[in-house]
Amino acid sequence: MAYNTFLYFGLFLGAAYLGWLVAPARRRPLVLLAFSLLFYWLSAGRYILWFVAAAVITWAVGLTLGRLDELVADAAPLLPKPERKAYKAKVAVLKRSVLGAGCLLLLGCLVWLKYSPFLRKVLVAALARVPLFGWVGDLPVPHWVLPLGISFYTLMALGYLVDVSRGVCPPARRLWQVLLYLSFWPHIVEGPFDRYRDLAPTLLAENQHPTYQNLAFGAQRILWGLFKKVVVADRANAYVKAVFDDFVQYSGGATLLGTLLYTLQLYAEFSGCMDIVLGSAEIFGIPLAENFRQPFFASSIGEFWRRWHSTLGAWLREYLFQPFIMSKPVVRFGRFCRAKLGPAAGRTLPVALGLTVTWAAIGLWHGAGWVYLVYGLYYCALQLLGQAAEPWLLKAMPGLPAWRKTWWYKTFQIGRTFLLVNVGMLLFRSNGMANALYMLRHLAVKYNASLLIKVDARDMAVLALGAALILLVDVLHERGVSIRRGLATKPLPLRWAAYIGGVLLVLVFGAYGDHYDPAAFIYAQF
Amino acid sequence: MSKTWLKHLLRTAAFLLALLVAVGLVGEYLKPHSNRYLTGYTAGGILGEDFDTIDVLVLGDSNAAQGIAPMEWYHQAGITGYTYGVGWFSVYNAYYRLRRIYDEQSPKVVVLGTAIIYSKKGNETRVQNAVGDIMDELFPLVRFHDNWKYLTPKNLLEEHDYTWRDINKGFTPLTGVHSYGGGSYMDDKGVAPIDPLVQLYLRRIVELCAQHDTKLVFVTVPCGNAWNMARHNGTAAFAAENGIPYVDYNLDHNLKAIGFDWQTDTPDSGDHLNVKGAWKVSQAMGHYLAANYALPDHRGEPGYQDWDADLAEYLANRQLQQASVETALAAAM
Repeated sequence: MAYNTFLYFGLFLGAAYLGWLVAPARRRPLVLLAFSLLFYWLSAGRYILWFVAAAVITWAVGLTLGRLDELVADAAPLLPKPERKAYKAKVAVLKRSVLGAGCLLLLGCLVWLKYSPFLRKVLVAALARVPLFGWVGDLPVPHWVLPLGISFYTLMALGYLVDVSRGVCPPARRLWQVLLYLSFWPHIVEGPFDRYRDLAPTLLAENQHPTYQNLAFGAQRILWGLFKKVVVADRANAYVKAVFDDFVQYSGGATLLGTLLYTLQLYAEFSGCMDIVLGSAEIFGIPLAENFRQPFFASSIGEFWRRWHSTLGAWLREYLFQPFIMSKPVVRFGRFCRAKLGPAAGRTLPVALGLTVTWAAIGLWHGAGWVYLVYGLYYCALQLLGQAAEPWLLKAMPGLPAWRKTWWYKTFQIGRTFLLVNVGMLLFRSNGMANALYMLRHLAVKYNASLLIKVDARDMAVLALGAALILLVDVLHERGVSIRRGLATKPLPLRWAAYIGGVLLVLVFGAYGDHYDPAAFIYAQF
Repeated sequence: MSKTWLKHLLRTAAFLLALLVAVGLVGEYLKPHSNRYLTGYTAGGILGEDFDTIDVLVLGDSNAAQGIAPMEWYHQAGITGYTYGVGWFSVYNAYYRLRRIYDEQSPKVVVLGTAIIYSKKGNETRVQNAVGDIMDELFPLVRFHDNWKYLTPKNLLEEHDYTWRDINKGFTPLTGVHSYGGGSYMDDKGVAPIDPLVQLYLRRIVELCAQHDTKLVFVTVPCGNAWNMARHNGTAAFAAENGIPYVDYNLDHNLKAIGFDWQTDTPDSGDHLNVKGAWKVSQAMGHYLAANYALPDHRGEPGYQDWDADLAEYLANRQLQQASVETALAAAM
């Protein structure tokens, strides 16, 4: 069930809110769970079993980890001092084994379902011509249907288990708590990646109360998300689809406009979806993690990814990058580099290795294919190049630190980042590396026909105005202006006029119905 | 309930009411200026007909629009009919459009083209299809929202004119020929289940017809690519259960009886009918209607002069279509 359908916000969300409203306060989390499972079942049917299996594993492993901690807390003080350390070490090994087994099971499902077709392809390409390994070419091609949100709930489950193992949060005592945390319908399809420790206090609380402000603010945010998705992203889709699916027909201005519109489409769609899901949770008083923070105001690639899908970046930083560079082999690698190549290399090379692994993971998280790996490594290369070039730049341009404080240099940095991100978007949307390279080469070839491809001038005008409105709102948010709070202080007739105007704007100018081919939510496919 | 909550509840209700009024008004405003453009094909022309002049109403999708020519009935027996055929029409659309048509017409017979019972557009689920179609019908703004593109300074304040009439009475004549070579498609012995939501709305149509004292008939226009025996059996079971007569022109004996030929009577390899096929089906339907229902002969009656004039024009066009389809046939052979 897509978030931009009448079925969702007209029926499902309304029914969920009413059900939640009439339920006794302490039963409200269970109502949320019931509707979350209903949402999953309506969207994915029998694949819900994969999800339930993952939730049961997560709950059982989390509980076991918690019990082991309790065991140490209860038993260790009773032991003689010399035995205490050994006992703790034994339990720590046991904990690592339990955690490892749980992570392996969860990751195994993800890899098996999402990556096995790609891994088979890689294996065949690598081994099919090697004597004795010819049989790999006969391996069946798996065609799995991915359970809804598997990339999201698996990572959230892993984060939860690591947090429990680290003692950052207590384990969920009841299965329904883990089921609700992982399946909560606003974040199961496209995220954000919410941490259990942040979400549990409100999501699982038995004193959830409806407030008029939550309802109004949540509805506003859903409306804004629908505007981005239905008016802007779905309208851009016709142009983007034409240019990328039939890329040999286009060049120069058409390819450039197609790429820019894809960037606009993906931003409007993904951030719009986040507005819808955060708004959906907000009406129940559940604050989900923000996933976007005006990404096109970023002055560097690193900053861009801290503003774009920031919960994925934060998750990978906390649960992959940091453990990776702190791991024994990488620490040893750092020592080796310091000894052989000097202290600077000892500092930077392990970090570079960690960044490479993390960016590769970001790329592959988006999909199983070389193009996604290259997409991730493209950003990695940009970041590493930026870091490597820094000393040279400072030497070549001594005024650089001062320039960095000026508006014109910041504008240059924002423009540069925007340009580089658009190249990344082209890589990401093109159906394969060869296509991407073709399109990049043909950016320099003049396109002589009309730039109005599959859309007419009126659609293009709406697209331009929609993009301008999104930009204006981003500018205001960047300056710390809260539009919703500002609106809330206005007189009632003005507020209602704004809300009704917003609904009419989406209904009238939305790219839905017979004349449009709206895209499914892109990130829902990851 | 506390006072604050009551206040919020009333405020929310008042807001929703204001919103509904605004959506309703804008939807009315964005309706096409002419009934010619209300729907695909020429279904909207029914609103241009004089009140209570249509005796047989056909509801269906493109199969009906291109396969049933009501003027054949008027030519044969003076029966007035209209084919309300719309591409990707659904049972949900049919129910609401029938309600609307009853505001102006009192058909004695409603013919439901059964292709709509099983058709489903796009990749949406059946529930999404249903909700989308029902929203289209309940909120004209959803259906006509894209008409903002056709607003000009000139027509901004123009009143709607719904007097356009179609001489073909909703029928869309196609004169191409592209034979169907898919072989027999009515062999399957299974029963295709009808979606429960579709069944619900079919029953609502049955009730609506009963309320207006209208006889309901199910008719399936020949369709080589989207119809089969399992669908026939599913439809026949529903029809039998609800006491609805059912005529399926896909059945071998019916195809033979009307002289239907898949080599010459389809313009698109079996999806739809060209005029040759449509005339055969329509004439057979005319005989069936005349034989089974007491439908008056309106030819020459006062108040039906427009129909007589339409018939003359229809027959003149028919000759041209005949020539055109024969040329296409010669080229195809």
